[in-house]
Amino acid sequence: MKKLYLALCMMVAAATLSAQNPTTYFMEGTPLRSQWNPAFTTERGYVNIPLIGGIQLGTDGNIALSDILYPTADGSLTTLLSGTVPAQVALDGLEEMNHLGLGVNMNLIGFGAYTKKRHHFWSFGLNLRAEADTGLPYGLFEFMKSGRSTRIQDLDLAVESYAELAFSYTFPIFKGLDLGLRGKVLFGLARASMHFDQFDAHLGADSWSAHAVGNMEFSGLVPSTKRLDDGRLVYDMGELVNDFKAPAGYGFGVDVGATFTPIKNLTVSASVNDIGFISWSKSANSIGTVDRELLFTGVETDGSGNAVQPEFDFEELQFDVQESKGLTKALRASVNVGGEYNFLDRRIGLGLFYQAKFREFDTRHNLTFSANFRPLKWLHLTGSYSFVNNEGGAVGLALNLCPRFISFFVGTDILLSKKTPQWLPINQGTMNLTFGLAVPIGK
Amino acid sequence: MKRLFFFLLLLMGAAACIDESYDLTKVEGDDVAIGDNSSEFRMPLVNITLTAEELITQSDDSDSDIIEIYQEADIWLPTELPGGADFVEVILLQEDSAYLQSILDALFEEMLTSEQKRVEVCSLIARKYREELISVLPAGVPSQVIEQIQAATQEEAAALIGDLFLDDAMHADMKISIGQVAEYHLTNMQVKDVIYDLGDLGLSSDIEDMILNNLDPKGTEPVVNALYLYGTIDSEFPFYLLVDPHLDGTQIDLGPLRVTHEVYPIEEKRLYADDILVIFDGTTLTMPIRITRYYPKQGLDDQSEVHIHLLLRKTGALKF
Repeated sequence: MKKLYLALCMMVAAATLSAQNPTTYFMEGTPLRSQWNPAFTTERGYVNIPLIGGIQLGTDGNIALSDILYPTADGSLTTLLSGTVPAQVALDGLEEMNHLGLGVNMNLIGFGAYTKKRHHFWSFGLNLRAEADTGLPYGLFEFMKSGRSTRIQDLDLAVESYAELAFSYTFPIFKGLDLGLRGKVLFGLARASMHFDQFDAHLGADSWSAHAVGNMEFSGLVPSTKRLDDGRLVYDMGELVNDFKAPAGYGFGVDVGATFTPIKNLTVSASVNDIGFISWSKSANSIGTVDRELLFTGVETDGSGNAVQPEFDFEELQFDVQESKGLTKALRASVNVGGEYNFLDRRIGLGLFYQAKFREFDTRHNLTFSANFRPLKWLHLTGSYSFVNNEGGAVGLALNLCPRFISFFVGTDILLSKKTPQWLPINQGTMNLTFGLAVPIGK
Repeated sequence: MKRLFFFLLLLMGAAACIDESYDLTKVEGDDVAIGDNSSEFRMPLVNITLTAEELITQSDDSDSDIIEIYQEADIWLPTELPGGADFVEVILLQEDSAYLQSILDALFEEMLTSEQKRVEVCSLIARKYREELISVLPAGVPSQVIEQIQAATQEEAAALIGDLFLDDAMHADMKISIGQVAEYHLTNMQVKDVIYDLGDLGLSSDIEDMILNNLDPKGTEPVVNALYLYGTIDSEFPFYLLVDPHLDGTQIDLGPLRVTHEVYPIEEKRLYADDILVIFDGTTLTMPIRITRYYPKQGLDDQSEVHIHLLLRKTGALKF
């Protein structure tokens, strides 16, 4: 039980990375920009430096590190689940449903080029993607901090990673309207999800009880099993991952996008990304369910003086091994819509960008205002402010250096915010960090 | 140059926003608990139901239970107690000869006026104490009568004993003889200690750790994380009981407890780690029981029970 709580806590505390920094939406000339919309192209062809050609990391949620970690008097950091953190303080920063999305998108290999006469543009990329989502109800933390009996519902954890082999093609429909298409073959590496419909806990003078109803699914990760005294075969939560089986699934995805210049200096763009699915194969899947109730009412003595000791063991709340079956899951699609108006020969641009990201347990909305500066042909700066799901905001900054021989870009929205020595934001639930290095080719 | 300056300024600004107190390398993730220092948790520990079968006489030559003991006591006791009392002081019966005598006097008074009572007492003697009575019969009883009592059926013997009691010449001496027989029973109405082997409580190591971890050692002030044992006791029997439960292997004495029909609280006793470990691993609950009062008119019911509920109270967080 302690390991499960620690895992929950560390997942929430590991404010890491998720894809796609909105500040980079208007960063012209970067290969990474096409991840937003396949109709976006670079000025020239490019070859990404392997492994560091494009890295996108970030978090997106409605809780921040400062809601999870608390400094102590001796200089260490403790979690909100520590008994030394008062309940009122710990619960104050939490929402009714606490979401946290984490992710990484890493380009392993990438290159692109224009066709003859520069009418069309194509690109190829091999990317590694990983995403995680959590939905942690307030009731869970209320129970942990107060010990009051509670019904905890809809506790969710989901992690997914896959490799993506993508080919994109951009071509004009007519002057001012470009269409981009990207087809992606997906190789599922690993997936894990855990969902509790119900997790009731009661610690009272009359009884101590726990009732868990839920399920778990693993793909590509082979969990350990053990047999309990009552003969049940369950997954061993203490030693969850025993082996890996990759690729554990295959899929296909499509990104569709367009850019349109209705009038001079105004560009509007729209795309729908990650329309597709991954099928996780039956042989690589492990499925477990739990519907158990524990009850302890104390040792009972019968009329003959014999004592009956009821078992109260959290180990009983393990997931029973169920028959495996294949699973097909949709990709986490997103809709991106943007517009930019440029001034002074495109040296300055003002942009507006909206994204709806359909995650595992919720949909996140992001609205970004940006000011884009291109004082030199090889120097681009972008500043932005994003409203994240109507829950908070973040200031973003991005830099693109693209002389003839190199393309370097970096962007983040934590530059000016309070952060840890590890450069993770303390008071922001949203964080993005984008980095890429490529070599331009062609003219 | 201006641009470079601006860039450097930006870097400095970024660096200035670093908060060392949130250094993630210093995260202490082991300190997971339910509740905080101001929390309080209660947990049922043991529920004991004492039935009449378990309350056995202290007498070595009998294994009668409390119902049998006091059903017989109802015969020895007068219907109306001296002074119009509702109860018999059972300990005084053992320790105060004057009190015992007052009970016997009332009994003999009733035996003179009530044929039913006389037959009841004499039948008991004939059934259970015939030889004992014969051994203490007054010298004036003819041997022929003694032989008749020995050889008679229970009814016949009871009648003979009753006749002797009513005989004016023998009455005073018969009171003494019957009184000696009655005294034997009325002064032996206590029950043996009740002992329960509670065994391993059946709690997982996770739960035991939650209760045991972070307990303040003895002498710690102020007390934040502490464990207490408390409970209630009540009885459905027509007695006042004095119970002194003790958990073997610990320093915990829960009594003395005065048990009546009302729920009587068992006061909190603080437990330390050693005590609770003994309880978790399995110990014996020893309960010396003394019956102090008996209420004959409340009636004896073999379905009556004594209920003891022991609970734990933990202050501070439950630490994993």
